[in-house]
Amino acid sequence: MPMKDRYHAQIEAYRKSVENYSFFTICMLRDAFDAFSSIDRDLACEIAGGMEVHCIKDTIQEGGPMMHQEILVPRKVYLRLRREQLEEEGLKLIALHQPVASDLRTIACCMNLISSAERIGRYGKDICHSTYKLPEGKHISGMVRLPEMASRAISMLEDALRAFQTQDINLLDGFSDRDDVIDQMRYSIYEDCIRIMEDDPATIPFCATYLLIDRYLERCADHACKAAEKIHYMVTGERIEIK
Amino acid sequence: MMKYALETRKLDLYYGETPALIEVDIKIPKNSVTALIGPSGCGKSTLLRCFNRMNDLIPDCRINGSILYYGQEINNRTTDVVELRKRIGMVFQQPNPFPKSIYENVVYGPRVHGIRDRKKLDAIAEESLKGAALWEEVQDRLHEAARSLSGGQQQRLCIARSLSVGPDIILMDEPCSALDPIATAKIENLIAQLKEEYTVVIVTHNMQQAARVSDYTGFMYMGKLIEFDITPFIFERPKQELTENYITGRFG
Repeated sequence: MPMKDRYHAQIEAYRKSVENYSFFTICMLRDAFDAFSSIDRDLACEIAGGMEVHCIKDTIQEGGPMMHQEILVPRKVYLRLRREQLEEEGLKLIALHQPVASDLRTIACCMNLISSAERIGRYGKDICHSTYKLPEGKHISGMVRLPEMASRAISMLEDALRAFQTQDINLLDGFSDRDDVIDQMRYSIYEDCIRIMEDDPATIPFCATYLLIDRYLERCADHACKAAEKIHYMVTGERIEIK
Repeated sequence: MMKYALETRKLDLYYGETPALIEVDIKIPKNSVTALIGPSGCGKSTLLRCFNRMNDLIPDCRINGSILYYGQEINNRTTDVVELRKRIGMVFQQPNPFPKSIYENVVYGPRVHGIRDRKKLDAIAEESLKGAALWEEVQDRLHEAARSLSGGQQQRLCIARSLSVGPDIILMDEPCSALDPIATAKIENLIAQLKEEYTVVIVTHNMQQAARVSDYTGFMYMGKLIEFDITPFIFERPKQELTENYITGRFG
């Protein structure tokens, strides 16, 4: 394969890897929230601590050729290792090929998405940890409006990922309004939780957890907006700000 | 004072019946570095040579349209070409020092233009070699053969030679293509310094070099100027698909 074709194939493969990593972390968040909703501690434990195959690329065996080595690592460790690996791959592409124009924008966008994706995955892990700590019993007040908020935040992340896959920036329309709705929900959930806790202090362990998750989900929507800005730049070359 | 050092309007150039430039409109801002990029045969060197009428030396070369130097038409019979080439110097791909000493290379131009005073010539030599960032390296051996210098030093000597006649524009046709990375870096640093006093137009095949040294970049293809913009825009978000395909290597 000519060098230039190989370079473009590498960029495409890199883009695909970032897409898969982002998809993985969104699934982790969604599954974590499902485990939280059903207070399924086993599932939460599996999501945060389950083993994942991590491929260490280009390892050098003493006196031997470059090798790929696969290791099993807990998912929370995988999140970090894979992010580091993808960052390194992006830097390598920049160093070796000095990309410009759409190639450069794609790599820059990918490197931003990697950081956001890791954060999303870690919020998933944090929600799993909150699930272990929930007291025995059922959720209160229908989990306030957290299921709706989670659904909205995850849907923004999915739309951003789809826009990244298809380069269809129309999918990013209305992100600002969608983020506003989530911000409003965050404050409304906060106020509801305070009121519920004042009425019945026995609800504090649940409501305090809801407040944490409320914050995580709001941050996830912020990450979706940041990702949308980067994807818009990648596709059009123009920077926008989603407030 | 004119904002543009050079400008062409509807510039066509033919070698015999073959068009080499087609309706080129370009405005080159003064005290800036402008890079011309494009595949081989796209017309970038031809356009560069139009600016100091070097194409006059090519038989069967025909030019239509305007070439303006600070707003003054130079594509006519009344232009003093010798004076024009004094104002618009040129540096070529291969360093081409004369088979003379370093000193004689630099003062050759001023001598041709009638300067005989030794002190004046010494001052010009020193100033030009300093301007080309070569003085520190050669001040103790000015009377050694220019060909004894390294390739990078020879190229800077050629730049000094072009500075010695007091130009305000310097044209460079792939000035680093025969040089190693260290010599290239020195020339690139020099280009950045030169724009303080001069307007520089550089033809290069090295796009990273164009991105590094230039303020403006023009992309040419098949004799046409496809896109001209400030350099970061060309390399970050070109407007034309042809430019995008060329700089990302998806060409053809």
